Amino acid sequence: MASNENKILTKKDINKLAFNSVFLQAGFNYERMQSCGFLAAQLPALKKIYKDDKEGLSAAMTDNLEFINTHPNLVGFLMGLLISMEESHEDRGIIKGLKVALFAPLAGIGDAIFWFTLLPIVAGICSSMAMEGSALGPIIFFLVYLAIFIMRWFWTHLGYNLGVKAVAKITDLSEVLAKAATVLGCTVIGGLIASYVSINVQTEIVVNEAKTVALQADFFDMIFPNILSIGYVFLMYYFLKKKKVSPVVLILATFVLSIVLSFFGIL
Amino acid sequence: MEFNAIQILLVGVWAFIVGIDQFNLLESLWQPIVTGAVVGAILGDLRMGLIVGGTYQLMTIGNMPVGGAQPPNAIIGGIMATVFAISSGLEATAAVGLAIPFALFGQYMITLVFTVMSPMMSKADKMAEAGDTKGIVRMNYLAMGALGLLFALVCIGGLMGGSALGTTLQGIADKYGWIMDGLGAAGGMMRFVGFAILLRIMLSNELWGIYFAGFTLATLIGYIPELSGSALLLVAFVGIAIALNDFQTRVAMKQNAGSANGGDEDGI
Repeated sequence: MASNENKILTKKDINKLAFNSVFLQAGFNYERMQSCGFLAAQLPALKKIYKDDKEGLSAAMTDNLEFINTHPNLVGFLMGLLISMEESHEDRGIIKGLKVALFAPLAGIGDAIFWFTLLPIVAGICSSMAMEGSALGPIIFFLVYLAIFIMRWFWTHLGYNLGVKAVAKITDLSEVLAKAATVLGCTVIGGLIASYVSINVQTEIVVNEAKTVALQADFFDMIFPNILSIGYVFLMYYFLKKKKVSPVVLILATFVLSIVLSFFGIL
Repeated sequence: MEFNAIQILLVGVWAFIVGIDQFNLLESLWQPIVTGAVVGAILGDLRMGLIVGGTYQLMTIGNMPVGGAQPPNAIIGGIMATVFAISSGLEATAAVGLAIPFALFGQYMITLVFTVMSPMMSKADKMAEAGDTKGIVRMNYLAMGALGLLFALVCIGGLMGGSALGTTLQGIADKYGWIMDGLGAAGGMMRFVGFAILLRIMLSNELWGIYFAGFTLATLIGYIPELSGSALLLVAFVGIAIALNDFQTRVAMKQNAGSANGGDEDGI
């Protein structure tokens, strides 16, 4: 643990670290993912810690340039934590090991919370406002993400202040937290499918002069409303999960199918 | 509708900003709901921009850049959809449908940049070894600037082509209604693919019930006219209740079992 005597970094340095974390994915590539930005963000702090120790700096840089792929909004936590360990000159192996142990759980929590839960809710609500022509839609959307952005400073300071104490907590709770967020996400996705997407079949079958059967109103809606929506999602899910079809293929197939069905007046 | 030089330039600048923003900065400006509104305002039809942005946003909810995967690019798609809707007066859903091929093109463009950046990493390794901090920082920001610039150029090209295409599109729309209807249907149907992608990542076996519960609840609420606007928010509240319960149960289970080993289930 860092004792007060060998504190080199100030509050300002940690703020700067949080700001730099914004560029985590600037040098994104398929070989090392976010490593370039992960290292670049920590460099001002690392330089201050290692000063004239060229070898120490070079070793730290090499370690931090290794593969990493974590969640951008939460990465400050990991950076703060690692920098606090660099500051107290912990063993390189421990610092590196911690980084490797933590980045994936953080990515899991972050994806579950930000992509799978928050985005569907916020985007779903704000989109329906925007589609009615209200500028409040994009404004609320923006404000929510501005708040998430500002939280980066909080995460970075939290990581730095907790130091290694945080490790046990994170590894312990990450799975449970991600799971709970996914539960919420799944509920909302189910709701989104019912609320915002619909397939309307136009076909009407003429039985005799007195009676025509409209497929949508008299058949599908009688089983239950939105049955086609959830059915098509299922079909896509089946192809993705069981048949391992690429999403791009499904997008193109859906595209063509819609136009063909429209040509025959079915959609 | 023709666009003037200032409008084209402004859209280019916005494309540069959001080209960077999709991976850095605020990471939200690039989303179609924001970009549609901004581009709509630049092109003189904020209302249309809002509608197209909202429509496109719903479609992309599941198509997200998670874990290094690249979905069809919502920036190029969102900007082009807005341009098409304003320049040729297409319905929002039809404009979105028409923009999908452009979104696919944007996806390949990003894949290209990320691939080109991969061999650069051996250069970065040498910089790290030499302690060349400036070199690393420079490489990081250069890659980011290049991506932004690429997006600006493609969007300017798309805008000039798109506004020229406007009258032609209008002609086609008048003549062959089914094409535009089909594009509209495609724009709507695309959402299903997005949701399916999302479910593939999220849904483990024990979550199917909750998923159906959400669907059922939203269907029910949707049929009450007074509540239909807030259906999703209400579903989210119930979801939070279930999630909290789940969280507390699991924490309690963990404490009882000792924190030594976690489960090994599917999903996240």
